Amino acid sequence: MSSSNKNIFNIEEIRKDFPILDQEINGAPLIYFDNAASTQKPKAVINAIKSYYENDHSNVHRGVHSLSIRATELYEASRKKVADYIGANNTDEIIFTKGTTDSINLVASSLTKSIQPSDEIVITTMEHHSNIVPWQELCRRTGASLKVAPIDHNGELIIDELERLLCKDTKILALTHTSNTLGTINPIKEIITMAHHLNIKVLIDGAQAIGHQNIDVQDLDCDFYAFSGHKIYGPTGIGVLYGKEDLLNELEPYQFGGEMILKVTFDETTYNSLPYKFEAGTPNIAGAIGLGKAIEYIESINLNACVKQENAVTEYSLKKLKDLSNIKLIGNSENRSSIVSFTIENIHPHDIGTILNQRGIAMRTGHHCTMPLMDFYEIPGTIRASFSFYNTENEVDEMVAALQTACKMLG
Amino acid sequence: MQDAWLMNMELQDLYQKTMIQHGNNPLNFGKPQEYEHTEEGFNALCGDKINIYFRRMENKVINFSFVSVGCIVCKASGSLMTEELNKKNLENVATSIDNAMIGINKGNLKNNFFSNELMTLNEIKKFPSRLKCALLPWETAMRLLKNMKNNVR
Repeated sequence: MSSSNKNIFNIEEIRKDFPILDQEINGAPLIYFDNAASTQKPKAVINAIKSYYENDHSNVHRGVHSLSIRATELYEASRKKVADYIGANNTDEIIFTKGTTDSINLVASSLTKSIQPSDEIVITTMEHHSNIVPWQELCRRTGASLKVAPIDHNGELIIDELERLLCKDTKILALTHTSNTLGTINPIKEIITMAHHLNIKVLIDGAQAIGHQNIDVQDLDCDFYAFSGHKIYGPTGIGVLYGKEDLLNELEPYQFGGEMILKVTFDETTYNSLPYKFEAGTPNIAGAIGLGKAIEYIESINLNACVKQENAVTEYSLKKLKDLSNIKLIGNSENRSSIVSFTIENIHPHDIGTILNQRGIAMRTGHHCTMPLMDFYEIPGTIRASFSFYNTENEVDEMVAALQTACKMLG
Repeated sequence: MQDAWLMNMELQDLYQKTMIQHGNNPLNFGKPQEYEHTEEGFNALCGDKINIYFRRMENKVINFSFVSVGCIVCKASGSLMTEELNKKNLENVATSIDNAMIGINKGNLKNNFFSNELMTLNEIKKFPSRLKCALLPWETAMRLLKNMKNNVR
């Protein structure tokens, strides 16, 4: 499948699908290297949202009128698309949320009643704040303890140490599929198997993995998988929580109100079935439709071809950056995604960020919402380039030239 | 020329000589052996961190020093701030800080109130994402003064 697509992956044509890329910033063509923060949107997604509001909008699951039926059909068709895309058993396992953070909060909040003070929750040093703070809060509410699995200086999990941390008291292991700062792709399938031997449930933060590799939740056998629509070329404000059906059935609802009920009296309320039990209130209908369209788009240009292009640009940038004497790469994992973090000797990332912006280069500088990880490396922040399939090696050359100039200027 | 884009630009004004000098070799930098009060400032958005130390010298004049892992803008601002405030009397300091913060925010620090060097900070306004970096030392110094006052009471 991937080889036949090799010849049809025309990057110039693909860039035309993303209207935002065709602009100048500070007089230079935009170079968008901040895809780990948020990806840009293809016309197909923008048009789908526009068309929905122009033609089909109403509330879902409510009325018997045609617009409501159409909106519901589109919304549920997107759920089906998501379910198929990540290999879920059925659509009941797909909860629409606001994003990855919301998805993780949903699980952490809903678990409150089932966690004991003697229980433990395990995360890792490389987690994003959104996969740290909800668990800290859960521990605070329940008296449970939070344990942190360490990494080595290459930015890889120390699997033996993780294994040692997991025990009969561990209730949840929450870890990222791909580190948003280091680019490390964790061997989550092996880790999940390891955790399941001890009957530990595993939540995967898939924010950086979605759209950059194939995800098959059944093959991974993860219990929960969380991701955001805007990291896979869809809109902001929509995300997904995948959960195994039996686990979602056991979980308490997260928020309460309309949509999530079957029957309400002033004495008691019967909750709706999955997935609606977790979707209180009018959902982000346009967002869900946009996400469905984004998945359709990725499938149309072929994910494997996209990954190939991203890997090529990543490899090229690593090679170029290693040639610069004053640059230190943060994260040298063997198995890595299209995220490259580095520091420059004696220069603060923010000053670099401001200068790169004057060259039209959008890159993230700072702690990337991974402050404990910055503490581990004893740095205030990094400069991060995160690539998508619409990025090119020429753009990397521009970045390297701009970095050299910035060093001259600030040194 | 490859570097042409760096010339003739607001950027050149931001990272002018004064800023780079003060940012790379800040004055009043380091933790003094003895001090009366200290305060930590943190910019959660970008991870900039500053510790400010306060002591009184002879003739009631004050002395600020600082340690920071911030960017050039933050360190230069700390360096310029301590130069500006040191040797003032305690009564006048809070007003000076207030006025300076307003001036930095608006980009209209005036040299009849402040030293010529401090005018460098007027360039920050053109880079809204960096205002927090420049203000961090001043905000932290202000908090130090307030906490100091409260503790005395």
